Amino acid sequence: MAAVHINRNVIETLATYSNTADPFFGVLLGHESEAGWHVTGCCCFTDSSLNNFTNQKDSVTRYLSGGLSVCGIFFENQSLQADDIVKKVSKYPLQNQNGLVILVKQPKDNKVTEDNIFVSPDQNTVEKPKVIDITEDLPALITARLRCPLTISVKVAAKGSLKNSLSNVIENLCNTLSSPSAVYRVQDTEVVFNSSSLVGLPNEAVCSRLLDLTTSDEDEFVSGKQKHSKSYKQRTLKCEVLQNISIADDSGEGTLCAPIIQHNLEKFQAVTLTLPVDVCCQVTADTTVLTLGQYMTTAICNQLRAMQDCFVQYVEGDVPPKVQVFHFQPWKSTAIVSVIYPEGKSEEKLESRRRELHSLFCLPLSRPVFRRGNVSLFPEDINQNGYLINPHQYINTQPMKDGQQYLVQGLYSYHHYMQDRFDDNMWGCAYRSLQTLVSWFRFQGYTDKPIPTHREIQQALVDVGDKEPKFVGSRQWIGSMEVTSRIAFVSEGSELATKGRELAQHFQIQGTPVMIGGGVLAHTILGVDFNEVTGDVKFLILDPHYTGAEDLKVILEKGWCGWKGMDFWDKKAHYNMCLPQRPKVI
Amino acid sequence: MATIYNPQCSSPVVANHVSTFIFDDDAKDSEFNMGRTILADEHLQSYIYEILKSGKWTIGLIIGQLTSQKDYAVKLIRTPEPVEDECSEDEESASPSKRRKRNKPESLATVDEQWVAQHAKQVTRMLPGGIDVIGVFVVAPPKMTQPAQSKLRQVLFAIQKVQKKTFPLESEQSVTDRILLQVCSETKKFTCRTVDVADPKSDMRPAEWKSQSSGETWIKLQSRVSVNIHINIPQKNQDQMFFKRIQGAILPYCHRIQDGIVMIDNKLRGGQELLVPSQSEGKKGKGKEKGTVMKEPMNVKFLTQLESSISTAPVIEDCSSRMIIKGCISCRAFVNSRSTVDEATRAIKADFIRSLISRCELLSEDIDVIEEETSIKELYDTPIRVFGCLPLSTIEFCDYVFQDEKIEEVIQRIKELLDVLVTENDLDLTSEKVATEEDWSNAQGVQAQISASESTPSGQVREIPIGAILGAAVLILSVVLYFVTS
Repeated sequence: MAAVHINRNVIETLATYSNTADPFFGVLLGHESEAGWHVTGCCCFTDSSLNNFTNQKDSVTRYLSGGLSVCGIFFENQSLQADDIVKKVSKYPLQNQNGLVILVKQPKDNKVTEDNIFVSPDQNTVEKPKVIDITEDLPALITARLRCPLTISVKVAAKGSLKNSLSNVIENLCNTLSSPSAVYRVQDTEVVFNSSSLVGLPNEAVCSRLLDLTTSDEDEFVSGKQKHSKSYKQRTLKCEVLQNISIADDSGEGTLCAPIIQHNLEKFQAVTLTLPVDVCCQVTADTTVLTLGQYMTTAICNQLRAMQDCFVQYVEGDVPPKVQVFHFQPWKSTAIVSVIYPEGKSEEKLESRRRELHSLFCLPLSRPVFRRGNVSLFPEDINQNGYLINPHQYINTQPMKDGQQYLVQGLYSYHHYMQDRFDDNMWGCAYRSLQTLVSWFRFQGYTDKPIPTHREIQQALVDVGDKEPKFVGSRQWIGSMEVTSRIAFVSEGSELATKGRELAQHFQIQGTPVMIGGGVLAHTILGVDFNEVTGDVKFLILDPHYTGAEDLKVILEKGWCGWKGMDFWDKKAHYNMCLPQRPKVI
Repeated sequence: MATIYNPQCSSPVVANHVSTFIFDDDAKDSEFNMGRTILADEHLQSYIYEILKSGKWTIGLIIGQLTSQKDYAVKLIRTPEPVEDECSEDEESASPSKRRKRNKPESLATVDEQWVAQHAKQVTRMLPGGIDVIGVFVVAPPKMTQPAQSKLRQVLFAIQKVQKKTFPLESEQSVTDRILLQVCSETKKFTCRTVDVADPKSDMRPAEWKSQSSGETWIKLQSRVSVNIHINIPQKNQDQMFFKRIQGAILPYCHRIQDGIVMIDNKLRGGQELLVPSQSEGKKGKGKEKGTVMKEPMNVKFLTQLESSISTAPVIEDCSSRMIIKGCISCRAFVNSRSTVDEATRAIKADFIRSLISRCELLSEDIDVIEEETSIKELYDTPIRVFGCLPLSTIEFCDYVFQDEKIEEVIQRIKELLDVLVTENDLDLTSEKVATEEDWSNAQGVQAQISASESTPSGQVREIPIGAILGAAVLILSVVLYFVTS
């Protein structure tokens, strides 16, 4: 394949990797399109031996969303000569139709640049790719999501036999899903497809056609006047899996007889389990629907096997746990990996599991990535428990000229006046802003305490001996949420202009929403657009003074969540900002 | 493979006794009559004419299709007279019919409504999807019909009750009106009324019985659907009757079919669309295809959810047995030419469900009567489905035949229950394949594979005593009595 697009993030990770004890060895993950490979992530293997390679590779694939695959390999080598690289690559069982991406680091300089990237169209040749492109993000991807709980009954004959029986049932299920009788239907359309057949569209149709079929009023609004510029990101294709139980006369099953019944009297125990299948596939717009079908099947089977692992790992006695699927975006890109966790285990109990994941996906241990609160947000999940999640993601504004946007990292919920059937119009803005901050800590998995009510916040203030409920952002009562924060003051609103750099840094490093109070008003800052050269700054404001319903359209159009210039602030007022600091845990 | 046999379906012939009938003038005259309109094939009148000629009072079933707009009556079937069952000891010796005593009630008012309801149940088993028992007709003198009005109403409700019990998933059917056609044997006058059987308090409403000289065009839908059910039966259900266990196994599968979607001629279509767009009939005609000649049957594919989708926390259960039902069902349904895709979908789904339930029920009636549960592993084959054509119609009927039944018994049963005379040549016996030794060993193979991997490490397959079942011929009417008396 001619072109390799590689995420800057991957290059940076691999460049700094040399400091650790493990060998510089692992696989590259990416998406495939007409335009070549898009490498978006990497997995570090603890063992570079040939024997363990396949095992380690298989364990990686269980996490991958559809369309994301092991697309290459990275290792250390003395020489960058093609012949030497071939010798090393050809050892590993890595078959790939469209070739492999190879990243080789020399121990002498530890550099990772374009010079270190190769492709191998087949296992016996290595060459420089025609194009190497180091990018910030993936091309626009279409996300298809399939959710379908499957309930199975597994026979448990003797102690410890669960693993085998479960494995049989799941492999049978995978066989069924891989057969031509399993088809996917795009909800609310007349399109049915799998890897070998397509009904409702011509055979060579691509996935963007599917999106065209599922437009809704909401999309019209979200994508707004700039047609299709952002809409791929903001719409999920909902699919369901169905089984064609009719028999074609020309199939081998054409000779099936009228139903026969076999009734076996035997005593045994059976455990009934639900497999809450929730699979994502991400493809470029030019991917054919048939290919999507193939990705879908692979992803479902991978997930079923991952569930099997989770059942076996967390089984208690003979009863396996209930399991849940979580989708994460661990890299600075839209690519998704999915992890199965047992339900009801605390984040503390799952820490070792997360440690494995961090190490596998070459992620630093400084901040959580795979906590349940870190799940990625799908457009259909924007309204949760009556609160809007991350409304700012739906703003369609061009960035400031030469400015760089620094935004809140992760999810929060929008809290504002009059919610929870509680009338706090004209006085509760600081409470609401604080609730938004707490929601962020909840979503990132730092705390599982519920969002405090006004009363609880007041109580907390009284408890710490502070009587001024208007005094917001104090170290103490944020601290009571086991969170430390930094306070910044400006004596005049106009001085906020000088805070651009500080805020930019805050969003880059901490990524927490910032609460700002001035005069009698409190707001939440979700990001800044900052021009290094001119010092121009704009603020992404979430306004808690909104009193209406959870209507994204109104909130965005009327600017309750939007970009504000310096004129937003009262030049005369005294402002203070609460910049929560995230704890160093995973 | 054997060549596919096409039953010869003849087109309706225009009967020439029409003029001798007086139609229900009230219905024709009254403009305010907003009741149902039933379009009856013309040959139904000759059937009534024959009954009138015989001079006997008669009660029977109306077979057809109810739709939201119009209703279609395609066949009338005399309900056979109840018999004293004297047979069952040595079926081999003589033809069963000779040893029965006919036992006709004295008048309509003394008719046992369960007797008619059981007939309706058995006839329904023999109808394809879309075609149902839609009402009851009587031919009798006024002095007999007048005192029997409440009885006739009871008959309609009793039929509904039995149908609902036998085919639980069909009760969602939208039209719940049933037809009562009364023909006065003295004046030859037709009186047609309907009643809503979903509402016990509903009144009889006048309806129009309209004879149609040009037969209705029917669209045939067909599919071959695989059944593949593996179910663990919990210990707590151990004492259930065999049929209850089968029912527990097949009902979830039926629900999956019911909740699934279908592709017609390899397309997913909107439910409100007409199955056959209206203009195509006239334009595409090509001269020869007109009137009652059917187009090619439409092929249906069933798409269902995988397994059950009800989410539960893991539970461990003690099980006492395991049931596997595996095979293939040949499905056929008929809908009128003005049907929507939704109506067609309902019809073919209903056919699958009806067919699966019917054959399992026939099997267990057989077993519960004859068999005692002794063996550890039991293997049964359900009867196969055979099709034939209703006389003077393109609509088919079916019957279920056990492997050891003789074709004469089938022909006899069709005559008895459907009042249709057929010969072996009129029947399509090849739509389904009889289970062979090979199929049985395949089924065991599946089991062996499962048990080898799940429980017995040695991988040994135990010898399965192929059940000495299916011994006796099933005399349907004896079953009628069995049910009536129990």
